[in-house]
Amino acid sequence: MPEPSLRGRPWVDRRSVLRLLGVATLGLVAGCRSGKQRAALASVPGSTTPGSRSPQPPATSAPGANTSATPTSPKPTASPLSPDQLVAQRVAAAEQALLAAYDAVAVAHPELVGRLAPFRADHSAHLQGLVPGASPSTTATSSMASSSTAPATSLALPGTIAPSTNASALSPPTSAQIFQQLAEVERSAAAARVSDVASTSGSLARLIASIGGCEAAHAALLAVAT
Amino acid sequence: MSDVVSAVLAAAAAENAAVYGYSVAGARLATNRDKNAARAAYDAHRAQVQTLTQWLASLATAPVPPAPVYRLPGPVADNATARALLAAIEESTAAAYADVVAVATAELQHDAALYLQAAAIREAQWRTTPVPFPGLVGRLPG
Repeated sequence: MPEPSLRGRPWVDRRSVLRLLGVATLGLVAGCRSGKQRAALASVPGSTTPGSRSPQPPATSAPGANTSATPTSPKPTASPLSPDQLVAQRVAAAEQALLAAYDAVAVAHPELVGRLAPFRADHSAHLQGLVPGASPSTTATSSMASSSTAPATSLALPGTIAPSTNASALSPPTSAQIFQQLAEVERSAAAARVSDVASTSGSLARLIASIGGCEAAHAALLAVAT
Repeated sequence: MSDVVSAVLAAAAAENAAVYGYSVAGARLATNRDKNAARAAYDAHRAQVQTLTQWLASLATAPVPPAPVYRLPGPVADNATARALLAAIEESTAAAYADVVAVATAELQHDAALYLQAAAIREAQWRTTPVPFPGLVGRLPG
């Protein structure tokens, strides 16, 4: 009798080079990637039900697709967006805001940039996964002016760690305190991803759920960092 | 067999494999802190087996019993190989829940997304570094 396999999947490093400059294009092609993702499906390690895999439904077949309500659409465009595209846009905007949060810390505490780089890189990868070709809408390391952009202010960190002209008047936060506050931000993001998944299916649901998993893991790692 | 039943059966199998893997690797961990974490994770996976059994019951499907032994990706000889195995186990369970998220709806999908997060947290803790797409490793776009 063959033993079920516990073998893990091959490791793929997604930390691509950060795109620090440029304007988000929000290419709205998330629904087009489902085919590629399906093709890469592997059997679940440890499965004892060979041959039980079935084709995944397309990512664009979200329930309620016939309703045209677009409460979360940031900006109406000439071509109507599918429900999946709207969700992908919403999550992409959240990832932009997370990037801005890390950038705000980087400005105020450049000594932490190296330690936070892997976390920031993950959000950059999330953004790319959701909207291929997108780049962060704020300049990363020179985001002193980031307060003038929507993504940066929508998830601004508490004033103790955000860049501030009178921050020096307060006792500077410890690195542990900064990590703790970023952990809170990541925890909130992870919870939001669970809600985001609800209106999706297929490869987009899988992608958003995975992003939420990453954010939950970020929160756990940051919460114990000192 | 429906997509949902297939995915939940696969998740149950992944959880059974995880229970086995933790029983093998837990003793090889170097510190008491890690051993305690592994014990807690072992308990969590056992609880997940029960949860998935209930899910399958709600889908009118009988659970598949665990295998007596599972093939490990490599020998578990020391702390490093034990941690690597546990990280791979968590990636496997995260992937199984990602598959459930892809095909399920409502409460089942919601809970699967939460269980994916729990697995992703444990995976990152064994690796000590974050993973950009837990549960999608090996099927990433691009």
